[in-house]
Amino acid sequence: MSEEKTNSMAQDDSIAVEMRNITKVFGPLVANDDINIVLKKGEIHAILGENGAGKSTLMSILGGLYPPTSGEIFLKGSNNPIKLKDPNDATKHGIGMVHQHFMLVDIFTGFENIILGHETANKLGFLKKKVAKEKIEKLMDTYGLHIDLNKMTRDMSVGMQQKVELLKMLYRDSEILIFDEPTAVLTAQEIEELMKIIRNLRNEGKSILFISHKLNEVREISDRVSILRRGKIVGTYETKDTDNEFLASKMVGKFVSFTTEKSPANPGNVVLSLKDLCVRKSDSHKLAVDHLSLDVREGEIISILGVDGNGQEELVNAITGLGKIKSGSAKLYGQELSKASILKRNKAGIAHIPSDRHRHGLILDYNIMYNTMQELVDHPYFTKAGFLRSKNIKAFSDEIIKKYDIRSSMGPYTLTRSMSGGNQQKVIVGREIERDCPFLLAVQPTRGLDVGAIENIHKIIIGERDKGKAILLISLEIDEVLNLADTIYTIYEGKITGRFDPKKTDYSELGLYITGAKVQDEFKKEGK
Amino acid sequence: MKTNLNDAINKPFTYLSGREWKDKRPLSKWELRAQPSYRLLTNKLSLPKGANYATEKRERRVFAFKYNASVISAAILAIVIGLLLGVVLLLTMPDRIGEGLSGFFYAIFPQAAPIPIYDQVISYQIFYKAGPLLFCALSVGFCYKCGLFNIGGSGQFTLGGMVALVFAIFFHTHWLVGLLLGIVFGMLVGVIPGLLKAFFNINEVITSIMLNWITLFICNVLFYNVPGVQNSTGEQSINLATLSKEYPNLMIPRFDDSGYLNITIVVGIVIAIILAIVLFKTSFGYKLRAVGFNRDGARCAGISDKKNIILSFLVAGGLCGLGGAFFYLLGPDTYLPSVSEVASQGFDAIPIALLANNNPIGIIFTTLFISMLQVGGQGLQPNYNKEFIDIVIAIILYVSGFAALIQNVFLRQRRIKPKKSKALKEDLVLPESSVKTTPESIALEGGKENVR
Repeated sequence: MSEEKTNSMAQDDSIAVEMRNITKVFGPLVANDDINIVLKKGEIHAILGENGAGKSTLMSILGGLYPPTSGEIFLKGSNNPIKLKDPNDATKHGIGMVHQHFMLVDIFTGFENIILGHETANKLGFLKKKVAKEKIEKLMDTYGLHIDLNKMTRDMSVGMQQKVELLKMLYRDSEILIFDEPTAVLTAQEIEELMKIIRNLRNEGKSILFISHKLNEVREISDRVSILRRGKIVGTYETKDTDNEFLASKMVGKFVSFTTEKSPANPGNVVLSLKDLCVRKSDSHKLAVDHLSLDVREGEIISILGVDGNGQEELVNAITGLGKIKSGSAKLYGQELSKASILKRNKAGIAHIPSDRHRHGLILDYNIMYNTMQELVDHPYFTKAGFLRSKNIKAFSDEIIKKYDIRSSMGPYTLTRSMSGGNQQKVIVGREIERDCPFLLAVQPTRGLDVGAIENIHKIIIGERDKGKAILLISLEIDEVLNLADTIYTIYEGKITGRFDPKKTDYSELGLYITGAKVQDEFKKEGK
Repeated sequence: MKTNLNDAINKPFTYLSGREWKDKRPLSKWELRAQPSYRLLTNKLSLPKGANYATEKRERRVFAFKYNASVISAAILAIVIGLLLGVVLLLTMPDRIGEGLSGFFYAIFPQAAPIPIYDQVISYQIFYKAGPLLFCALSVGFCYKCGLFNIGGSGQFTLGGMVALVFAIFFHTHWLVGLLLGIVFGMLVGVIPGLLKAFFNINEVITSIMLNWITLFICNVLFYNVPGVQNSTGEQSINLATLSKEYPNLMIPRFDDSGYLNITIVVGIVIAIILAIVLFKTSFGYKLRAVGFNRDGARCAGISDKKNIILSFLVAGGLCGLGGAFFYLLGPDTYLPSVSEVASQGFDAIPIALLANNNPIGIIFTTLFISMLQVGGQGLQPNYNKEFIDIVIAIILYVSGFAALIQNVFLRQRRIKPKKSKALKEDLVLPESSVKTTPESIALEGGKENVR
């Protein structure tokens, strides 16, 4: 069916979609400024850019989520611009988008999610499940996308959910697939798998737009790459002609170094000490964190590296007070934490950069000003006799905005909901670091940030370490951990599997330990 | 670059340096440890240079103005549409419409009538009806700011009022004591769904709505089983108006003989203003709204979600109870036991609060408007059924549900000529050399500037 469509409409077979002079304005902010992009048929075209460069906006325009302020979109080389009023229009034209935050119904099975909105029913209104299932199974075989169709989406891993999302688009006969930062939420293995799938899709003749700010990925997968910077196209290049340095310089407009320089650590007293810490999983009686012992000292960065879902979340909750500790102890400067409220822990000096910025990090309906003082509301600087001191609040957020280069349309008064993910993250990082607590728990602090911002935050974290802060970094990215940590602990199923010096280890070694393939002798005994 | 970074790190910071910071470490009490934090706060802050405050402020004002204008105009438009639809409805009986509309008008402005029944410029009934309703609407709006939906207003209203009434009848308590009792018993009813929500996460809609009937029957039990509450016929409670001849402090102070013009609405307006200040200017309101916007996020920031949920229900219950006490201590109304009907104020209040976008100040106006319609509706009566005005009010409230939609239409982005923002231009024009030094360590550089 899709082939028929192509034939009937085709005027220039080599072009899948062309966006001409696209401009999108949000209030005073120009998100896209006169952008031209040509997606050829059967190519993987990467769109590379910093956070807030306008990548997602551009793709949302193509996906039918926003109308462009001006500019036109042409399909298959035709001269008649198409009008996309909503995502359904886009789907009709064969444009499918895999969103960064998945649009799935949690309590539906994979199958139900895939056919949702495109159900075929018989005359009595019953679903023709068999036909749909056959089609999906065919798709799964063709592209090597295997999922359990009868599993509820909320029970699936993120990687699986993404596959569901992708199948959803394929089920609707999409010819042009947009991936909006697909790897941001995936583990290393899942990313590898996704890359394979994307290549498969291209080989089967689909045209793919791949949005990312990760250079390695873009170079690995794409045929051509367009670079966006602050709403403008810097250039479109054949990927094979480029290298990381070139792309990075085009993307951020300056030279970017990939390893952050740091002096050797100078550890002092123990700040956080975990001993035989056990934390239960939220939905079962299994232990998510299993007799974990760890010390974090002043002036060092301890890093816990592991594949997502190996107890990191529960560990974080146990330290911050969001979850309960089952047994064992967690002490901050010798004070037992397990009974203290979150407020008390905050006051005692735990700063926390949460991994889920929408759920835990920000109150999206508050402006930046109110978000920067979240934990400090009761501080006499911000509150006097129960009344907010808005001048001080504003001054504080101004400092953070300036120091962390937070870009927004209305300065401290910008609603955080209206900001890009990267800038939201900067608000959180800024706030937590400026609280100046002796202990900083950073959970994926650079999640979803671009190269420039990552580098910046890494520098800040190292700077904090050198000032004597104790930092516990929990990350899924080996690069980040190797770059920042003074000591790396690998975690697998809630247990520590090894301790490493980042200078004396590498990707492949760490990979073995985070997947549980190997356990250092020291930790074998402790575990049992 | 290395030198740059080290340089910046070794530079004395305006806030506590690593050394100073270590010195303060041995403090062991929670509160003490909290002090050395917040390094930015230890200095007097000066506004950072370079930030363009004039434009920022102007933009914010323009935005705030646009936003507020859109909210208000949406509400007004909803009302106008509702009124027009109401008139269309009245046109079904074209021969009566003239009389009906003039009756409507004269009910609201009795003095303007050819033969005035009352010597009142604006019918005092409006204020009489609006008073207790205002408290209930404030209660709903306040709860809504904490993300909670208080449908239990009727129950809180009834019990608060009943208890105040019973005490007034038996112990001839001062009206202030009655109000206090109303608040306390309203809170007692209100806190139940709050506790259930906070500790067991049970949906407050279910727990509060079902409580309405429980409290209604508790009040009925009180009515039937406490001898002396009923009047001589046994159908309703003793009218306070008769009792108050003996005990002058029994009833709410009034400005006219009928009791329709009294302090209720004044107190309500004062409380609405206080609530607005509490919600938007105090740290309590900040926390409460934070919990309402994002319970998890607030919790993560150390704001107690449980405490705020319970507190907001306590305040909401107290407000409704106060409304009930005012209602029954006024004199004109008496308690009428019924099996099926809970006090309508608790439910009427919900759309009134919504029409005002839950803003306490807005609620004052919407309450007055709705009670004005109700009073005007009475003037329609000889010509039209009582149900007519109910339908018109219902339509207005129904259309007000679309206020958010109308608001979006007002706020929608118009096609604007792409305007290059200043920051964008500057950034692109910056020469390579200056780019190199500035953004690399914004944090550290930023710190430098603060010193000066």
